[in-house]
Amino acid sequence: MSSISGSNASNTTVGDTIALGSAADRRTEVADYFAAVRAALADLEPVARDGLLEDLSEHLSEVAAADSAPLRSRLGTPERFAADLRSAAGLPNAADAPETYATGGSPTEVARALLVRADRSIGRLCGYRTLHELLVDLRPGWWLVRGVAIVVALLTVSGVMSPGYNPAVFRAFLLLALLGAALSCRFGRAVQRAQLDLRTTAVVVNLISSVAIVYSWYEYLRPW
Amino acid sequence: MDVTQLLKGVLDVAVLAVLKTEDGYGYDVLRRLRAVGLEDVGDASVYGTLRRLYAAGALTTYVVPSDEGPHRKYYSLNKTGQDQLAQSAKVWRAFASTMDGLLIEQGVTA
Repeated sequence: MSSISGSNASNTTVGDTIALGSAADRRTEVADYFAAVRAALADLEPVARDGLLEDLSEHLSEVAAADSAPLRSRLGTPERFAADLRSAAGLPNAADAPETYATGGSPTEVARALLVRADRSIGRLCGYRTLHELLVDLRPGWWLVRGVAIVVALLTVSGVMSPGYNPAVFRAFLLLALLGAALSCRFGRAVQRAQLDLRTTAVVVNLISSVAIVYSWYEYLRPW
Repeated sequence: MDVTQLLKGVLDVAVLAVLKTEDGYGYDVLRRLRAVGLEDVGDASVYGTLRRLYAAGALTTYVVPSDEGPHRKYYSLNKTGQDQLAQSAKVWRAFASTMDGLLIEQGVTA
């Protein structure tokens, strides 16, 4: 056995080329990653969770100090990291954990417990363990819709496209829609693989796409 | 063959083994495992395994302040850990030799 392919470590070196800012930025990155792992373990008993997190931020700082690549590039997403952590530590997956009915605790804990329950209930209704798993599976579909919607919105705003059939415009639209969908998928994959530290950009792109979808609906599909 | 699946079963032994002669902190243990050829073993897997072995009473810990960075929590093998390592090593050798025997008997050469 000479080499093991890791499950949560990215094999790419793309992250190496992404320059990171000051030591303060690095500390913020470690703190954010830690907070996201903690949130992904929110359903665990406090004692088990705290034991698991006890020296994790030191470990993350070590990783950050030894490697200039973004943490996500080296370790994968915090959710994936948390899942591997659970599995290696012999703790149940979020979806397998027993139901918890929060009756006490801080408002944040109660809200979190309610979210976890809603996540499972809606997920089960759809044949999944959690809603989150379903949404992860739906991701590529969203990327396609997003790419096409942006093209529709751009063409409409620029005045090229308007309700009604025009063969030349329709052909151009098909080409651009394919291109838009392809680029959108490519961007989605890159963010998902954590090759790009572009979470904020991704959120902005998704917001713009949502506006574009509503706008396209309003222009072309509204039933009134 | 998916080596990560194999690794899941033997990571305990690997972690105990690299701590046998020298105590180590999480990142250090990871580095040692990679140095012996388990190159891309996951950070979370190693860190989680250390926590589980500690919770099971096979490891003890102590904190060493560091000037350059965060304080480091060192893990060391105690009597329970040493016994577990000896026992697991026996199981592993028997298993590896059985598999070798099977492959040789069937004329499978790598």
